[in-house]
Order: sequence, then structure tokens, then C-alpha cells
Amino acid sequence: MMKSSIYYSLAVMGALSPAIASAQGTTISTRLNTYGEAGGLIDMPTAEVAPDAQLSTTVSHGASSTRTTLTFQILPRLSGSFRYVGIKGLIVPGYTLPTYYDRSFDLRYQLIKEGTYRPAVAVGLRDFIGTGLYGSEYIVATKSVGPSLRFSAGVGWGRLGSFNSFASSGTRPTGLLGAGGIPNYDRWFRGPMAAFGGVSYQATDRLSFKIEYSSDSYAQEAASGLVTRKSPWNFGVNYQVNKTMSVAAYALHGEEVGALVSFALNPKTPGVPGGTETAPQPVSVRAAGSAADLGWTVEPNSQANIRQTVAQSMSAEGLVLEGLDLQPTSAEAVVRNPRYDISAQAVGRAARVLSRTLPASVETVTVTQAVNGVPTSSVTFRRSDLEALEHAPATAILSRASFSDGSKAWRSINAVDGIYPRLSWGLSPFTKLSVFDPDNPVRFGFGARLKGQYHIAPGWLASGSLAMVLGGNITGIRRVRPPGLTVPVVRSDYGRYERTNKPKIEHLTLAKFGHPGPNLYSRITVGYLEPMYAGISGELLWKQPSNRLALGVEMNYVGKRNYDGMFGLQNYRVATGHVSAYYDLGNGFHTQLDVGRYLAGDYGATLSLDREFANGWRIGAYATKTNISSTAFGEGSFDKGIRISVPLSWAFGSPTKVRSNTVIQPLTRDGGSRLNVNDRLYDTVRSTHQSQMINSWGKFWR
Amino acid sequence: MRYLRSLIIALGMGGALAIAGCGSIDTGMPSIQSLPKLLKKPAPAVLADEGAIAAEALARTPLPSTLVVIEGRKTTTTVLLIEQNGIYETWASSDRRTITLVNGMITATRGLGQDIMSSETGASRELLAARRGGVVQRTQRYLDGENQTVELVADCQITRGGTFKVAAGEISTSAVLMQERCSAEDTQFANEYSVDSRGRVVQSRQWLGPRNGYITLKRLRF
Repeated sequence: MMKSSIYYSLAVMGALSPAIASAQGTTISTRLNTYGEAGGLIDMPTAEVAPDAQLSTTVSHGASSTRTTLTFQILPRLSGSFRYVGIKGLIVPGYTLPTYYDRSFDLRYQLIKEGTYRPAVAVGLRDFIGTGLYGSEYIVATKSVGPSLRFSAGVGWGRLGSFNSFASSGTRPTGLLGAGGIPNYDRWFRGPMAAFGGVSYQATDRLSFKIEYSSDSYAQEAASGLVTRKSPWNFGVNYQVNKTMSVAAYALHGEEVGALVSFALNPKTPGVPGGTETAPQPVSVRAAGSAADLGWTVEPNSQANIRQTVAQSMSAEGLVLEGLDLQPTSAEAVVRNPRYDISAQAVGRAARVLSRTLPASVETVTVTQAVNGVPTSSVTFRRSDLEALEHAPATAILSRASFSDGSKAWRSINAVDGIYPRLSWGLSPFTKLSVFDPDNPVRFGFGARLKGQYHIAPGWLASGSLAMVLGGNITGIRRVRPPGLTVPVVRSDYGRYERTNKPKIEHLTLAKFGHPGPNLYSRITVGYLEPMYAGISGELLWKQPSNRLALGVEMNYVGKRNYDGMFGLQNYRVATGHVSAYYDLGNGFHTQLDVGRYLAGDYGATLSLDREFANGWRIGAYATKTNISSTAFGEGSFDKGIRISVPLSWAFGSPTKVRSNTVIQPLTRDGGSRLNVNDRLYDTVRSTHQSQMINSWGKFWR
Repeated sequence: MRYLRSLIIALGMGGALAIAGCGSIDTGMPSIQSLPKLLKKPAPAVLADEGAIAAEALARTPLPSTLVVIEGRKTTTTVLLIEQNGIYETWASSDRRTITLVNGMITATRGLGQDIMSSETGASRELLAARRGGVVQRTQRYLDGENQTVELVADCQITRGGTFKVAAGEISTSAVLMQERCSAEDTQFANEYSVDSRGRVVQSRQWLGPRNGYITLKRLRF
């Protein structure tokens, strides 16, 4: 059934993945061109695709341009790219800095897969949002001939139709829609069209050569005196250094040379599949006939002694027993899981501990996960099933497990002694990166962060974080919003919060989490909620353990904090909040719609779409449109961005709940800005719920 | 109009600058306490003295023991029988890695990386116990990069070889060498088992998977 898929994962774990996976089918290429797109040519696109889910970063330099591109193979046949380019000396009306910087987004879809005689065909849009420096559209076909040769030919519009055009489809508009940042759909596939093409040759596993005929006239670069385009022919050689890194060198336009380095990784391929963490305690099988013995129920102190034994065994697995409800034939353990990012693994280990520690008469075993002191999900097993299915495939025990929302535990189970109150803390270094500032496109900072959490009672959490920048140039951000905009300044001055080298309070809050009814979760947070805002935030979430849909409402009243990151507030106050719908689309795709009032007092909605992997990786994009007009919003017209969340367990091969979250927001403006508050309910609750646990259920017995 | 805004990315990972953290909150970084261990270069692999390791393990405990050699990692250690669930015996090393055996055949591992999560080995097991050759199918299950269960189904030919003297620890007996040659699509592996006159696997060399390669087990005490 899943027999073939292991070869894929084994192959990528083992040797260098083959550069050309198959001559037919999806026409996969691990090569990346100067635009960071999958494909064996140089500037020109092909109909090739990257392996599904590949995430790559490409930096290419040539003809005074430096392009940095992040590309994600969103689906096996759909890819998206985000690019940041700096062109030294490009003359652009109204632009005064020595280097012109621009961002661009691309999409490419492979319409037709390659067949024995039929080529693969793809359609693509380059720089389809915004100023359109690279704005172009193309239809391209690629055909493999043998295992090493690939021929591509296509027709391009816009920049790709600028050299030696043979026909024209209407007039291509040049004006911007809105204030930029809006898809330039009025330009697509319009204007002069030209033909391009090329050949790539895979000489060895690591080395490949390419020749292309370019239909890009480099008109704007040539007009600025940056490029002398003597020839439409470009030549290149590409060398795969290792599984992740490749380099390439080019001869361009008969005049220039260029170089490229790229890094590619795949969320589906962790360092060590299955992880390297130590073994669980095995299930202990009860002796035949022992289940009838209820003698323990009348022994003095037996409850307390058993609770202590269970707690000790749980702690050997990195789990914390918060409560234990022990009845003659059933037991429910409330467990906090600070270690395992995959909840099924935490529940599996807890269940095995219970099989080893509970009296033999207990047949029904429930493991309830608690998050921030609130039980969020219960899984109930027959102990005989745990005993019988320990060495069977994980699906066997899954079919015997039953899931519920954990609200029974919230009402009836008392905390284990000594669990509350509890103080935890951490001191660690941090780095910050600031990009897209034209004064200095990459700024960084490093420093130290002290975090503390005081768990006062179940559901009550006091939390704080103090950070101090010790070095780097991130404190040098001086750019402010261009004058003439009337929207309140709510985010665009974030740089001013970075200017200090003194310790700053990142957050300092008191939160109360609750489970007010079946499938209902609540949160109230007061204090310094985030680096820029303080106030009160309340949230209510309705989520059933197995329903794809969840609904939430959040209301906040906040004031803007002083730039020094200490206790003071500025005059700006705002009530902001959203009604949210979360939906699991299946196949790893999740979407969220938030409708409400944003920090600048603007009303609107945010739509987001993420691809989530069962190992915890999330890659997605979002867009927010509010009642602020694109003119009032300024450049970009509306807020949008890309977000990437990486579980560190993926990189390190051992369980940890820590993730690295990155949001790439090409423009930080004031319209459509949201409050950042910690411990929003949906993300904290759902990892413990049935639908998420089933995705990674293979880890139950790991 | 064209002035671009910058952006702060707070990289939780901390990139190359992340050195170490301390405290009781999981920061995802190695703790200060573990730094000396991480920074120390691994000692050059020396050929372990199996006899000394076996003797030391037997002196330490009266429990059944088995010597384990993972060739690819140049690791030699001993495992003790810690739990029995029906026919499945779980053996553990002192650093909390476990191997599950059914009459000496590996059906699962934990903590070795790319672990065998479970197996179907019934037909092989019966032939080995009877010291007879034959053709069998066996299944090993692993987790892939997304924690999904993937199966490796192998067709195997078991053949009976000669009789040899085998000795390790407290065990010294004559055993028949049984070979199990398996192929699963483009993967081939060959396991060897020394089976004593009572049908017990005394020593073996078994394939764990592409990452871990072969493991050798030598029973030191029944």
C-alpha cells in the first residue's frame, strides 16, 4: 500500500538525490535559475518543477543586479516565488538612492505533464504584483530526450517579449493599479510577444551545462548604461555541491558574467526520520487474573502512593502529571507535555507509563492533555488493547482509541500536590534580522533574552520576557513612513522600538485560560501584550476535537507603548478585535478568515492559506484588505505576507516544542495591522486535538 | 513612493549566533551544561574489546544479556531484557535505546534513528526455529519524514548452512547458520542467524534499515 513511498524518503535521506528524477511525468528539476525558479536554464523559464514541497533560496548576481529569491513548490505542479532585487545604478524616475530595490512575486503552474512524445507545458507569471520591473508572462514547453538532455521553448510577454518580438496581442498598459501591490491583471499576456528557448545537459550527477536564447532585451538596464546586450545567447554551468547547495556560473549577453548560489531543503525530509530520542518505557502486561484484585482500594494511602509512582514515571518521559482520577476500574491522568511537539507521542508515552503503574484492576485508561493548565483533549484506551497492540502498526491502537474534548477533567480532577505554583525561566541568546530597508537591505542584531513564567494555579499564568540588543546594526533603522498619509501610525514606526540598546520588556502579562463549556476555550490576557502595545485581550474559541471547522472571537483594548520598551504608554488607544473561522481543507492545507477591526481603527478582513506538514512545518501566505483605500495605505495598497514556521525538532531530530517563526512582510504599513498576543487559543489547543494527532499518529508507539 | 520598508524577523532559531541557553524553559537550544559535551570532539573509534564488555556486563547483573554491535556507528554495547509482552522481548541499553526481539529476530527498535516501528516476521521465525529453508515474505515498518508509517515488504529466501561452534559470554554451543536473503524493489539485504539445537537464535547479524545498516547480536546469557 505505502510500499513505494519509503523509497522516496530513503532515497533523499541517502545519496544525493538524482538531478533528473524521471524522464517523464512531472519533469522534476533540482536546478534553479537566476530568478530562483526550478529549471535548467539561466534567465529563461522552463516547464520543469521542483520536487514537491521544496523550499529554496537563490542568490544570483550578474549585470549589476543581485536577485534573492525564495521559492516554494506549493503543490506538485504549482510553485510560488518571492524575490528581492537590488540593481546598482538603475535609473528610475523619482528614485534617488544609488541602488534600486524592488520586490516581486511569481507563480508558475505546470499545465501538462510530460509524456512519451508530449512535452511538459507550464504557464507562469513573473512579478505579477506591483511595479513590474520583471513583469512578464510565458507559456513554455520542456521535453526530455534521454536521461540527460532537456529542450525548452516558449513564448513570452512583457519583459520576456521585449527582444525580437514576432507578434503582438493588444497594448500592454504601463500604469500601476492602485498604489502598486495589486496584481497587474490588465497587463497579463498583452503586448509584444517573443520566442525563447534553450537546452540543458546533465553531464554527471553534479555537473550540468546550459545554453539559452533570451527574449529579454534588458531595455531598462541598457538605458541606464548597466548592460550592453551584444547577443541573445547565454551560456551556463551548474555544479551541485551537496544535497542542499549548488553553484552556477554564466556568460550573459555576450558581454557579462554572472554567478549563482542556491540552497534547497524539503520539509518532508528531516535530519533523522522518526527522531533519535531515547526509547519509551515499554508496556507492562498484567498477569493473568490480576485484574480482579481490588485489594488496593482499601489499603491506606494507596491513592497517594500510586499518584506519586505515576508522577515519577511520567517525569522520566519528560511529562508532568497534573492530576489523577483513580477509580477501581478506570483512571484519568491529566498530563502536561513540555517536551513532545507531536502530541500522539506524548499520549503514547503517557499511556505506556499508566500501563506500568496503575493497579491491575484499572481497565479503562484516559490520557488528558493540559495546555496552560486547561485540559484540552482526552484519549481513552482499553488497557488490554494497549497490551495487545504494542507491537502492531500504530493504526491498530488508533482504531480502538476514543477522543473527547477534556472538559470532564476540568470539572472533576484536582491537581497533584506541588504542581502549583511553579516558576520556570530561561536565559538565551537571540538574533533579529531586518530586511528590505533600502538604506541597508539587511540589518541584524543579536542579544540576550530572559524569560520567566509563573504558573500560579491551573489556568493562571504570569509571564514576562526581557530582551537586550548587544550588537549588530538593527538599532540603526531610521526610515519613517513617507509624509502625506493620514492613517494613524500603528506599525510603520516599528524601527523606533528597535533603536535602544537598553533592556526592553517584550511582554509582561497575566493570563487566565479556561474551558467554560464543552468545546469552548477561553483566554484573558492583561498587561504589556507585545513590544508595541499594552492593554487587555480576551478570546473565546469553539473547537470540537474532530471537526474541521473552528470559530473564535477576540476582543482587545490596547494603548500604544513608549518607544523605550518600558512601562509608559503613548496617547494612542484603540479597540481592536476579530471574529475568526479556521478550516482544515484537507491534504495538509489550512485556511483562516478573520473579520474585524484593526489597530488603526480600520475595518476589514484577513484571509490566509497555509500548507502544513505532519511533522510541524507550515508555509503560507496571507492578505489583509481593510476600508483604507490603496492611496491612503500607501505603497503596496494592502497588507500581505508570507510566513514560514519550522519545528526545531525537524532540524535536530529530537522532540522539542520550540519553533522558528518567520514572517516575510514586504512592506510594513499601518493599514490592516493586527495585535500580536501570546498563546492565541487555536494554535495552543489544536495540536492536542484528534485531527492533528491522527496526522502524526505513527509516533504513538515511538 | 518607491521607498521600501524594512521588516523585523525575530528568528527564534537564532541562526548561527545561537550558542546556548540555560534555565527551565525549553528554548530549543543546547543548555549551557551540555556545551562541554557538544564541543568535545568525538573520540576516534577504537575497535571495542567485545570480551571485556561482555564480561563486565555479566558481572554487573544476573539478568539475560546480549551483546550488540552496530557496525556503521562502530558502537558496541550490551542490552538487558527489561520487558516481555507475549512473544515480544524488549531489551534495553543503559542509554535508553531498545531492541525488541522475537526468538532473536529484531521486530522493532527505539532510539536508534529511523527505527523499525514494527514488523511481520512470523514465517521467517518458524523456519528459523525449525532450522529449515524456505521462501517467506516479511514486512518492516518505518516512519517517514512526515511521521507517516511506510512499509518495506521484502521477499526472502532462507537457506540452511553448516554447523559451527559459537561462543560468547556464558554461552558456548554448536549452532546451524541460517541465511535469509531478502529483496524489496531496489533494496537488498542478507541476515544471518546461528540457531542452536533447541531452535533458539544464539547469534545473528540483521539489517535494520538504510540508515543504520547491520547490527550484530550475540547472546551472552539465557
